[in-house]
Amino acid sequence: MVQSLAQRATAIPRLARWDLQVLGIYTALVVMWIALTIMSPYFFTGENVRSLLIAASTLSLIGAGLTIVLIAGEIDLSFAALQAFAGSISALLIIKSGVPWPLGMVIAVVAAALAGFTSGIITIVGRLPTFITTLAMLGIVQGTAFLLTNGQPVTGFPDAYQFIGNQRIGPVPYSILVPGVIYVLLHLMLTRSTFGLQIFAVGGNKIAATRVGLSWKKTVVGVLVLSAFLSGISGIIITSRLGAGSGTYGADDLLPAVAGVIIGGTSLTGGKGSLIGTFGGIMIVVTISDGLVLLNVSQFWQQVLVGVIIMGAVLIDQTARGYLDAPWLMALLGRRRTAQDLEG
Amino acid sequence: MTDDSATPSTRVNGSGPFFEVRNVSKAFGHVQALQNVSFDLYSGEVVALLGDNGAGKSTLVKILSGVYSADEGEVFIDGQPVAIKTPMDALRQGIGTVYQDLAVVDTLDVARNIYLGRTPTRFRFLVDYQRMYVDARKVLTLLRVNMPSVRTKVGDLSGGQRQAVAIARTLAHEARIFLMDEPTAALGVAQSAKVNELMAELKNNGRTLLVITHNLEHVFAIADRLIVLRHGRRVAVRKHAETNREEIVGLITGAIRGD
Repeated sequence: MVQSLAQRATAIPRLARWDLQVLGIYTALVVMWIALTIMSPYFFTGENVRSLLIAASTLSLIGAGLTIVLIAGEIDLSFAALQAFAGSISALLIIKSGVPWPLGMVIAVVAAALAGFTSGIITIVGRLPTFITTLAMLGIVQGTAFLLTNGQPVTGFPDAYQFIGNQRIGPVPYSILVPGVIYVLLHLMLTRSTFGLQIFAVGGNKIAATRVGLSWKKTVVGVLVLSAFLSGISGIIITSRLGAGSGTYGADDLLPAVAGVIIGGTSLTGGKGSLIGTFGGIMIVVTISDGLVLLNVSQFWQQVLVGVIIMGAVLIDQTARGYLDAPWLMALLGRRRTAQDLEG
Repeated sequence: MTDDSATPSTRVNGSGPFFEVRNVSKAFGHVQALQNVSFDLYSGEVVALLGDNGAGKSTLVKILSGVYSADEGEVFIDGQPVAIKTPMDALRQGIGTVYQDLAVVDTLDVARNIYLGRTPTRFRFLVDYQRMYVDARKVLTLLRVNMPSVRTKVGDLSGGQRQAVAIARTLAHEARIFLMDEPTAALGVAQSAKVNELMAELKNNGRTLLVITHNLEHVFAIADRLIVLRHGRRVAVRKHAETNREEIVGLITGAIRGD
């Protein structure tokens, strides 16, 4: 086949853009860690690193859910509120109604997954964008969480319930270990399983996937249930760590989780993303937040900064996909112009 | 040479047609898009489907590929009647469609696109990527296609290479009949030539091609037989050797009355 120079330039096989982007994220992370270690003597201590990883652990779980939903070409806005929802149900059942704690835990996670299932079914039956259905679900579950707990933290979980949040194996707390294991399983699901491939295919081109028999309806419902299920587990871990359930626990995680996922290189238009990238992105967000505290910067600046970082990350993504003409940024990203760019 | 009888051929093997379309009609509201269209296809032949805009070519192909369902008429494969209600039904019956918009997933690599919907698996739920890459290379070799790598993202390929991926996918789905709607419409001269070579390779491999095209030069370069539609009716079936450009143009425009 006749090949132009531009096409031949894209023929570099293994080290794809994706890998370069992930490499960039982890390089940025390492630079931040070195800088903070120099600026604050407390940063690189076992205690601080552990608290960083604990903060990252539940954020990574919900971030993983969002990543998978975004790869499928959809969005989930309800995942942060679902943490509060699951935590509140768990507190209500176990503390107020005396349900045995393992059963209460399971019911809370199932309730969260059912909320995701409901969003999914309404999406496909009503042919609605998930932006709308999950936004509606955000309102429903957030309100329900406040109603269940009367807006107050509900305390008094049995000690056994709190072991995940507070016990360790050696130096590793369960609240890092459990999400870590789940995270690895999710990564394998996404990269090795047929369902993982289906998620990438549907998110990349819904029509093409449907024509060869891959159901976008099953995919949408599947990813929303998975995301909600992960929020449920994350909500349980948070209540276990704090020893209480509340309508506010986890509800503020929307912004940092979205930021981490976007920084991690997951595309908002579907078909592209990775959990390795998301973990790096979440670590960056958590490190910024921790670093600002150590450097005595106001909490409110964190939100502003995270917002700015989201904007920057999205602009980089637009440039990487050729929608923005910024040659210096392209060069920085190591992206080669493709035949398509030149034709289009 | 045309067989318009309402009963299907009972011959399964040998020289008879293996694919028979009988009296297919389709109306959209008051517009009769197709009326009693019948034709046969034989193994390993390239058949061009010709006609002016609105003659019913695309409607016919969409019925055979399961996008539309016919109001009347039947399709027989190997003498057996088959129901084609969805694109998946068609694919299971060995009728593959190479869509005009290609329907490739830009964000996935060549191998994943070729085996989209027909992924080799282990333990049913894991993708056997090793086998997928080996098989994808085999399919491309069979078609004599040069591809930078089966790991290249399809979004980074040229128009002709993307067309090749779409054709390779249809082959990987074990299609016997390839329905192709304007396969070279969006391509340049060199790339069109390459697609013609691909079509010849498919034919050499015993596949049957039903090709819609406006390009008469293209038709006479590749087609063994030509079917002409006009106002939703089949007005002529001609062998390549027994016709010429003037007759075909006349049949398409209505200057020459059909059979």
